[in-house]
Amino acid sequence: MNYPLEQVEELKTYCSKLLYFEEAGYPYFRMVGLRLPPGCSPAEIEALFCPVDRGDGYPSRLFFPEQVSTPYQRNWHVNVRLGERNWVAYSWKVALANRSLADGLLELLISLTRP
Amino acid sequence: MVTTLTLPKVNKMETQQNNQEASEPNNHEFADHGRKRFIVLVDDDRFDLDNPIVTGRELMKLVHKRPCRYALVQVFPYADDQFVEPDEKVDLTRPETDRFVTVQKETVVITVGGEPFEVKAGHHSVAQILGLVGENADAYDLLEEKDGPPMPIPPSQPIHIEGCEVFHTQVKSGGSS
Repeated sequence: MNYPLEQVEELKTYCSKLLYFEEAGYPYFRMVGLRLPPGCSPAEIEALFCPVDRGDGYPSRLFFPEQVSTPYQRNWHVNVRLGERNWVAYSWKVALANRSLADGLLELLISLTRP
Repeated sequence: MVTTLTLPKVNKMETQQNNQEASEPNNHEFADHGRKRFIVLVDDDRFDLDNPIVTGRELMKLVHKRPCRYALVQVFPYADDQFVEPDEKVDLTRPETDRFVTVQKETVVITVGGEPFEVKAGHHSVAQILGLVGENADAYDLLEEKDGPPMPIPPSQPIHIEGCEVFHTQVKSGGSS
């Protein structure tokens, strides 16, 4: 999939290294050293950001290698194997459509801080 | 052909006097290759300036400090110290005007949604910061721009304000399912 360069550049500001791959026709941004919001632990972690619906009814997903500690309990119900690695994700539906990649990611990061 | 070089005769006492003057320049004014330069000390760091008229903001910038967090104080050896406002001009040609220190302010300036607000330095809640722009934590998220893109702050997280912090607000959307 093609994403506007400026959107990809904006996404890069959230992590130390950004990689991209596709699997089963879905796009994944591998974000190395993704900064997590205050109150989360660890402060930085590797993550996979999928900005599209993978057919599970969720407009976007943020996958982590393991559950992260958050200020409020999240529903970590997704376990998947992507890029030959195991990942987990929490349940959160981003409501607004037509957002930039960074806005979509930010919405998922905000969800980690919500009561 | 013999070339004779004629050296000017120099009075020894005059030479000593000149050397003394060269080693003891005016407190804050000296010449560098014919150009007048002005010395200031800000937080014990020495700076040579071209222009003798500088603002408090410019002096603070020399030590990478900003008025939203720090105040500039002019130190006088035989008089009370004086605060220098960011846009106030200081004339470095006047005597005893070359020493300054920066001090952390008690009331600092932060930016919320592009608007500056004065708040006390120290701990604040997310609700207090949102309240500055008439918003509440039930409907808005608070984000802070700090060494990178804006990051959300959990409503329960105390925010330590030191000055110059930049916050954004965002209408809440989405939800767990």
